[in-house]
Amino acid sequence: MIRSGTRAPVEWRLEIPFVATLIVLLVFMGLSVANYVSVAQVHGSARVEATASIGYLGLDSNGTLPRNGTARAWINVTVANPTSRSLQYDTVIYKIWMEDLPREAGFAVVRKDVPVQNGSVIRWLYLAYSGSNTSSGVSVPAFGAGTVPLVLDLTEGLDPYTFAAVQNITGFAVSQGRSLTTIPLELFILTSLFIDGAPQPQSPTAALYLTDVVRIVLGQGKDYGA
Amino acid sequence: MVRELSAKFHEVMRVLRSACILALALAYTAFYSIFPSATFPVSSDASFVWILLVLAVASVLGGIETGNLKEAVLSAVVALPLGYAVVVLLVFSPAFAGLYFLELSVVPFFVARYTFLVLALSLPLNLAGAVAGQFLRDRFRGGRFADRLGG
Repeated sequence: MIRSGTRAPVEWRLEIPFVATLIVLLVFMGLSVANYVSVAQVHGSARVEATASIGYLGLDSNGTLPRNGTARAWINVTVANPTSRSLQYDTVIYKIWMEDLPREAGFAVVRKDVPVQNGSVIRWLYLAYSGSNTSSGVSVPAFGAGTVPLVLDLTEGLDPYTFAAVQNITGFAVSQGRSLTTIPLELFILTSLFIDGAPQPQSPTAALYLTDVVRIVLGQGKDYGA
Repeated sequence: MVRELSAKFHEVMRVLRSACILALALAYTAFYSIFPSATFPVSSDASFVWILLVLAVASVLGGIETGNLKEAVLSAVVALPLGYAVVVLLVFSPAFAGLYFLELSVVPFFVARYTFLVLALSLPLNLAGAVAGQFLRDRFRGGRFADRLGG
C-alpha cells in the first residue's frame, strides 16, 4: 500500500493521542530517572561518623569501680546526608571493645578476649558493650545530618560477668596510675536507614534487592567479633 | 523508482514511529517493575494493572500509527530489543552522574532477569494492540478493516 506524504485531517486527529501518550511516557520516564538517580545518590553519598566514650559513676575514693558502680558508655552515631532525600534511622548496631590491659601485661585472665595483631604486637580486646537500637525515631534531613545518641549502662546487676571484666580492667589501670578515660576503646557501628519517599516492598515474595534499594547500610570501624 | 523508494521510506518511518512508542512503554514498565519504589509513580510493589494498562494503551496507539497489519507486527517485534536497550540505559543512568548503584557489567543481565515477565508480556500485547489499532484506525477512516489485513 502506498500512502501519500500529506495526511488527511482524520489522520491528524489520530496523531493527537499518539503524541500525547508519547509526551506522558517521556515525562514519566524523566521523573522515574530523576527519582532513581536521587535514590542512587543517597547510596553513594551518605556517610556515618560515630564517637564513643565511657564514664564511670560511683567510683571509690581510690578511683576504682566498686560493685555498686556503673560503667556508662555514650555513643553518638551521626549520619551526614548531602542529598535531597531525607532519611529515617532504622537500626543502629554497636560494639565497644576495651583493651584488656591486665592480659596484655601478662596476667592470666579467664574472660574471652579477641586478639588483634598490631604490627608485631598483639592487642587483646574485651567486648564490653554490644547490642542494637531500633527505636530512635531520628530522621536525617535533606542536606543535613542526624544523630542518634545512645547511653548504655553496665552494672553488676545487668551483666555480672561483663561488669567483673570491666571492673578488673579499670582496677588494673588505676593500679598503674592511669586515668580510666585513657583505656583504649574500639568502636564498631553498623547502621541502616530508610530513604523517605521510597516505600519498602510489601509482598512476601518481593526480591531482596528491593529492600536494598530503599535502605542504606553504613558502617564504621572493624567488627572483631564477640 | 523514486516513488517506490519514497513509499518504502515512509513505511520505515511509520514502523519506527510505532516502535518508538511501544519501546518507550516497554522500557518505562520494565523499569517500573524493577524499581517500583524509586520510579514514578512510586509504589511499594509493582502494580500489574498499571503495567498492563501502559503497555495496552501504547500497543493500540502504536497499531493505529502504522499503515497496515504487516507494519504493525514488524514494529511490535522491533520494539522488543529497542525497549530492552532503553531500559538498560535507564538502569545505567546513575552512572552518568558518577554513581554506581549496580555493577555496570551485570546491568544487562540484571535487567533481563527482572524484566523477563514484562518483556514476555509485551510481545503478545503489542500484537493484539496492533490488530486493535488497525481496527480502530479503520473505524475512524471509514474503510474496511479486512482490506488492511493484507497490507
